[in-house]
Amino acid sequence: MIVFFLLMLIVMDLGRGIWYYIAVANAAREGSRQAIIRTRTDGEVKTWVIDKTPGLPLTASSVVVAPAAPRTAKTAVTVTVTYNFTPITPMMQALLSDGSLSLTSSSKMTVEQ
Amino acid sequence: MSVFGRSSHRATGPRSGQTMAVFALMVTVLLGFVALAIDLGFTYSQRRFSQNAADAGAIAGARLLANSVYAPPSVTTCTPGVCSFTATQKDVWDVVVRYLDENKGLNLASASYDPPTIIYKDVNKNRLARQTATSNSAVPSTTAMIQVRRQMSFATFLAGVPGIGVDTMEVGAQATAQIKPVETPIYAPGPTWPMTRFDNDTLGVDRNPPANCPPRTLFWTGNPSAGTGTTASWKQLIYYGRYSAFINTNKGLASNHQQLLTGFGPTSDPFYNAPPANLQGQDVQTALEFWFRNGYQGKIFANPNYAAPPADANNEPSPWQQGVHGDKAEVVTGNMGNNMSSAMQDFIRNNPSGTDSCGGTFAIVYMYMWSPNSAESWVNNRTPKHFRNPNQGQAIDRVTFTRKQPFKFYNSSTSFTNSSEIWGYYTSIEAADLPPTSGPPSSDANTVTLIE
Repeated sequence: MIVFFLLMLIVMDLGRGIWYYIAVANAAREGSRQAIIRTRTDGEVKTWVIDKTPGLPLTASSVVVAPAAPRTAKTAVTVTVTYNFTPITPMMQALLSDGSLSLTSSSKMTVEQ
Repeated sequence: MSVFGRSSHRATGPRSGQTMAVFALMVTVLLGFVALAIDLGFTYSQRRFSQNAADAGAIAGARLLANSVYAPPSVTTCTPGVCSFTATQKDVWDVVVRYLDENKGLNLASASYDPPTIIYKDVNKNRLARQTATSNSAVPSTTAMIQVRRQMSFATFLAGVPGIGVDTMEVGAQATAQIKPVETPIYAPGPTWPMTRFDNDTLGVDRNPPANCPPRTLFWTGNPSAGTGTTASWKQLIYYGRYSAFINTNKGLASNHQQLLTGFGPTSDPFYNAPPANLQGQDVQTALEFWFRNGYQGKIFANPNYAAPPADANNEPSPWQQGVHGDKAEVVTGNMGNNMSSAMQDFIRNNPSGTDSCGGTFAIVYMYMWSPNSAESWVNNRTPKHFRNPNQGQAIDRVTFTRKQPFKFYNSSTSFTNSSEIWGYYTSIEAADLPPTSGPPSSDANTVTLIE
């Protein structure tokens, strides 16, 4: 019975982890889509990313926009979003070095004219 | 799982029931997490599809308008309200919807798409009008931006189960594209030069030009079957204005020297203008510039009643540079390579655009290119080929202009390799790496950029 519950928890944790990773990847794409607009500041890009990712507790420091604004037309801009995922299963936590897993995703697009 | 419970605790019925209850609860929670991963993940992907579609729709709509700026003949700069768009709101709607549909991603049976919202804005982002599906009125003349928005909904896969109860999800996206005038050209808008038959709608390109030279194309050759791999059959050139080639003592009445432009028409053409009583080369050039600037593939025709060339026409070519637009436009056909080369090189000497290492002094010249109208048939048993109105003997009838493009021509053997070969070199007239200028759409050239 304990094994069963443990397996269930692990399955749920994996589900949570996958969902968080999907959300992180989508957040990066939302960010790069905004960052290609030349008038956008880095702060506006980060606010957009956080607003468009409900359920994912991101902060401004979770979002990195490179290069920083103002950006040059026809050059690439990369938005990287990082989130530390903490499993709820104690055993899963124990398997990870610091109890959490860093989920990172980047998206690169070309800045508009 | 239930089998597992019964087999382990057959004698303890109540505990088996407990397991069932816990199992049911766990399955619901498990389904919830699976729904989270699948349905929300799917929602995110739909959101990306929607954003891509909105971007494509806004860019396509703005591009349509950018290419349909109409400037009255007397206008050289489009200040707000002076120029307008030949594309209507219905045209914009059609192209936006097409791009939205073609970029909507997965073809979901359960998907439902709201009608798109299209809003026209001026250069200061002020809202001008909102497009509806049935509107076919003119696009506001001060439009500089198009905003496209569309909402869609779809049925969830798992999140609709009891306990979660989310049957449908909605996503939407919005994009705004702006029409911006392109950067200042390196060279001032150049002169237009001989018009040439655009054979088979294909520009031949020689990928092995002389050292330090860009790709080139052959505009004239005395040997159409020379196998140069370029455009050896571009045989007919049309001159007009002071560079018309009244160099033959036959003065335009011989088979190899026919006048072409004696009228515009027919009157059913949308940009019909009655030709002046004494049509001159400059009139033709003015009309062509107007047509090309407004994206019109004009048609011109010759009737068999040739207007007589001006009395002084036979004085050319010696006074090529007298600047008198006294000639009728005409067609020059074969056996005249030497004379055309002389005329063109003379022009380059007097209108240089610059010097480079490819071939020295050059002029940037816009080439008008025309194709035969479908109503015509080629006369294949003549060299060079003509196309003609079947009722008018060998007279060239109607042509359709398909392209206007700048080329570099050098005042040297780089362009004029011998008496019967004339090479034009591909060139860009736009300054590199400069952003488009701000302001209303230009009557010359625009680009489109996402701004939201």
